[in-house]
Amino acid sequence: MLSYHYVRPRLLPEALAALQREGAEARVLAGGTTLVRQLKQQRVPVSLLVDIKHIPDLHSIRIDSRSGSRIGTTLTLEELAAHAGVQKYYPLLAEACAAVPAWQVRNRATLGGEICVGSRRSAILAALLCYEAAVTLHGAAGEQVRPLSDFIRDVYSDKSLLHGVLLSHILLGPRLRRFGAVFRGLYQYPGQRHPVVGAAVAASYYEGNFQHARVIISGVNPHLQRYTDVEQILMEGTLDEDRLQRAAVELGQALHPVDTTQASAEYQRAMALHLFRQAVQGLRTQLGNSK
Amino acid sequence: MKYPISFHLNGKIVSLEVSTQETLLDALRQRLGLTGAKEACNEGNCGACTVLLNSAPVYACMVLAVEVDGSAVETVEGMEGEELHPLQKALIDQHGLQCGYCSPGILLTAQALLAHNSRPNKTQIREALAGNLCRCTGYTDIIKAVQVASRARR
Repeated sequence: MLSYHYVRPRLLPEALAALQREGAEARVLAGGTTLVRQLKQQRVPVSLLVDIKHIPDLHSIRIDSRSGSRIGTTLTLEELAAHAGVQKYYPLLAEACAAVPAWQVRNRATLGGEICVGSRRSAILAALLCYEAAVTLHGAAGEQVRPLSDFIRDVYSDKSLLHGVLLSHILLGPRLRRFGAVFRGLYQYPGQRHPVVGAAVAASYYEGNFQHARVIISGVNPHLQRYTDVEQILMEGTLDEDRLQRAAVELGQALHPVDTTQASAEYQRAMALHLFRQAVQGLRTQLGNSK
Repeated sequence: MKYPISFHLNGKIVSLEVSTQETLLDALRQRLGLTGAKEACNEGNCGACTVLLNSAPVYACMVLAVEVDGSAVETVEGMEGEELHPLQKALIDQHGLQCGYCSPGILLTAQALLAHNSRPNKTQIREALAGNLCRCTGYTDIIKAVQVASRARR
């Protein structure tokens, strides 16, 4: 590993000042499950590590089903999986955190790290997109709140957007009535960190129709995203087989897989559509609409 | 860069200077002579280096030594007493080890599990040990050993 400095700020402004003073070679250290590996492989130029785990505000959580929730980015996946409020109001997030197989990883990996790494295969990010998460960012321009979907897209295009920026909280909207969310993933082997392909579908159910639909496919396109045209089809009327088929066709056209060592493009597309159907079926069952 | 750190190691306060590149595993094995935590994959996959950090199992190869300043670390050496720890005894009695390389990590993860859940079932034991790989035993006897130890603790 290369040589670098280390600071352990206790306040957010101290952390920000350190990040901005050092510029592009400063890195935020939270759980370190990705960063420490990169440091060992000397894959990132680093002159300063800013350890944000000791900033109390970043490790706070407030769950409020009516006005919305605020989760500090240094909460670990284990803490989120075990949190009664997360389990009750954001069950898909709790499930996704608990599904990360190694307890040792869950004890270190943080929600903020998961977002900044931004894996296109992350079931945790898919769950956050189902709950229409937003992120609070602090940087030279001050504090701003951005939809998580925009943040993921922009960071995918330009990783330098993370330089000098600190992600402090994840914001989740108020709980909708009769809202459910389901994720189905394809794993190559038990204990795999991320599924090769996954599908998350979320919606609320009123008088026979889906509303507030959210459809996310992981592992296929270059970054995680919602498929709003597909969501629109799901919400047009009663969800019968014809409508589901139309939604699947639309989704198939929006996917642009490429061959990887894990799965051919053709296989990824077929699995994504299969998992999408499974997730819709799972959601109908969850919401008591299995007809 | 060198930084002074101080932390509780198996109940005793330890102070030393560490470089920022040094992992907790390096510090334990090379600086403090505690070789119970093993170095194997060195990238947070196998669990051979598992230690307890503030009572939670972590991969020592993925924690920087400088991060543990002010924390409590437990290694397999901390299980030592006049008699074998019930988990150690059960692992031997149930033939839950062959080469033994993974055993320190498994013992600590199992210890953390039993601290959370004194009566884990097989599924819970399997889930807890999912981050500890064993290439010899096939896990069956390890799981049996954790169950035996949990009964012995009651």
